[in-house]
Amino acid sequence: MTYSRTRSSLLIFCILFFQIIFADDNVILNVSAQQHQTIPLLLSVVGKNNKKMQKIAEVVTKNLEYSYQFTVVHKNYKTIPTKSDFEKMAADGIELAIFLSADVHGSVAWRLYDVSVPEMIKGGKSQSNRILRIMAYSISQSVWPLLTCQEGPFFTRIAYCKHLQPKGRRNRSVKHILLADYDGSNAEELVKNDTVNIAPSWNRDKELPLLFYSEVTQTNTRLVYTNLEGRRSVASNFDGINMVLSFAEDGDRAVYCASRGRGSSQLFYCAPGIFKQITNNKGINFSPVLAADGITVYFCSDFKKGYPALYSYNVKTGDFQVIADDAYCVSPAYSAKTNSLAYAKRVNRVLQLFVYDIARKTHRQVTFNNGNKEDCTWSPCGNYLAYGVSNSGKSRIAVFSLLTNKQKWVTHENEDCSYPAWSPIYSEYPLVRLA
Amino acid sequence: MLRWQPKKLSRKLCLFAEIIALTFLLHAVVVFFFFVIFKSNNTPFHMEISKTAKKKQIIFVPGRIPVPQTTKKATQTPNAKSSSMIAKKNVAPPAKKIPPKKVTPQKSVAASKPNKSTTLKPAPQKQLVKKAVPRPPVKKAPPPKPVKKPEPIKKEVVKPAEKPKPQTEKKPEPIPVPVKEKENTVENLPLQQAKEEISANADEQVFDEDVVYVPLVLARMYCALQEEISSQWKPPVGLAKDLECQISIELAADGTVLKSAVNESSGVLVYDVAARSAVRKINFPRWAYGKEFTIAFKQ
Repeated sequence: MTYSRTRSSLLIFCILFFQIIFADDNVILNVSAQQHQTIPLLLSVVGKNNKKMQKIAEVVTKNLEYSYQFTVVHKNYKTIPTKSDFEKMAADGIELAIFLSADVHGSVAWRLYDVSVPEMIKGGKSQSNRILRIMAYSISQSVWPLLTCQEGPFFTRIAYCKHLQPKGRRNRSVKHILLADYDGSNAEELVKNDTVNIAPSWNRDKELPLLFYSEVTQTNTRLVYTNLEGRRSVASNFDGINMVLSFAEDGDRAVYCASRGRGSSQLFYCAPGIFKQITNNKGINFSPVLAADGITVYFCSDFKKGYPALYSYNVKTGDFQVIADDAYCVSPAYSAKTNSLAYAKRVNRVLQLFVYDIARKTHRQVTFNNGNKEDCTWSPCGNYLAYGVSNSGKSRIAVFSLLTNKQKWVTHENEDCSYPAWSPIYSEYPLVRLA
Repeated sequence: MLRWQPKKLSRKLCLFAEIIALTFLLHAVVVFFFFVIFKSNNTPFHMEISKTAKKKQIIFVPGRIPVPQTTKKATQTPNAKSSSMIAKKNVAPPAKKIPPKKVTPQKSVAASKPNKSTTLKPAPQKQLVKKAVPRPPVKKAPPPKPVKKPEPIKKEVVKPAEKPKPQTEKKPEPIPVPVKEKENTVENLPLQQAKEEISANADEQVFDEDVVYVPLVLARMYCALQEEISSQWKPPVGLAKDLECQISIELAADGTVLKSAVNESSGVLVYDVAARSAVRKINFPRWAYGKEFTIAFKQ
């Protein structure tokens, strides 16, 4: 009893001395976020507030609020606000402000301000364009990295196939290829011939956007590409199927699958001066994608398991690896931004999306709701996944935000749309200019 | 038990002697630390342990004796705390030990030593003695003899203490008041009381010392402050998970934020802005007024 007391007293002294010796005046409080909220941001048109500026401000607002990170507040000023105006803004809880003003040559100038300091963080001008929303996208695309240190999806488009039934031909179905803005708005037809056009994919040449797709003909399914003016050319026209061209980030190397008239589908690798078959088995090898290094191919094949599984193959070393073969896996999509692979895997009879971190070799399920998700594609920023959700015979395109884990529909529920392909960021907005 | 143990002494007596020796040694170490390491800093600390229930945590409460001030304050706080401890253990030595404080001319040094001894050691000793007394026959009563020795000293001491009569009259008054306070603190130390104690006693200089000397209570306060900050800290979704923004804050005496500067930016404007916004919304507690903090905002 007494010993325990002496021991405890000794312990207390030791603790106390320890505390005293290591106590520090400079206290750092570590605080972790338990909740999230949107950041209020002022968007102001300075000077002339005509319809053009209103429209641009409206689209910029829509863009900034798309990811649920900002709440845009509007207030217009005749000139750039004074210090007292900034103080009022700060008192109202606004920390950031964007000022838009019409420029002489039809362009729009933007200025991003830190309200509490107050000082201008950066400014710039959007390209002059007769289509106002493109100017707004340009502004949003410039401002977004300053705010979040991430690339925005605003200056991109999503290509997809839309299933149509021509009037008077009930037995025949047609699939056209359309381009829509990143949020599904302003869809316009790019390929509208009287056949089935599927599996679009974009090239990587920033100056010359091209869309590759497979066109079903009477003899085969050929690989065709088109520019945004609608000029088409055939890229691969072997017997059987020629499908799903995937480019490396450099744009010089590509891989696609073709059956060449045989029963099985094999993968073919294309590089400057090189065209070679990289698989040779009795199974069906399909949906190849090239990694950023340009030599690693991720693809689906049923040659080993009898059902589609996910594999990787190094073109140089011949190294072959299994990525996921424990269940039915299809439609891989590679993101160079996040160095990860998205794919669809059957879980409880429903195809759900998974993301495979290539560096860590970990798989993560990202969707859990109803509906089979297929044909996923990454946004160039690596924060969004577009995919087709098939339910009761119809397919609808949705965008899943990996930032907020929320899904947004891109196409209308009455439409039957599939095969989304997210464009990279081109130097010009990929607008359809059919002759 | 001990080799030098004389034959006459019983085991219990030896044990008692051993404990006294140990406690003396401990106090020597304590004094050494205070006077050598801290260069005889004249603000000794005081601590209180809650042992009302075995499951309850032991809580250290800071007691500060502002030495440069009047003798009243110096005597009040330690007496109060010691009395609360003693009250629990049914021992009444404080009356014995208060007088030596009055006698000793060096208030700071003399006051600190006996306080600790009263709070921690005499109580267990006397419990032992009480238990030991009934069992042996009357002959084994001698152990209390050494205890009686201090009594004559007290009588001697009391005589010089009579001179400052006005001071001695005031002393008995403060004793009951702090006892009530301690009843609250021992059972459940409310954070608010601890804050009030510190803020009430705090001069500018002394408050800084408290930060050094009483980190356990401050840790609880900082926890409360952390909770307050984290309730206001709401960054936007979708940013990288490893972001961190450090903001240093200087509070004015009235609690307003004098300065808030981003020490280490996260590199993401929105994140830094959210952190700054959170700083503005924080309701700082009273004890934090006039202090400086660095807050690391994490995801």
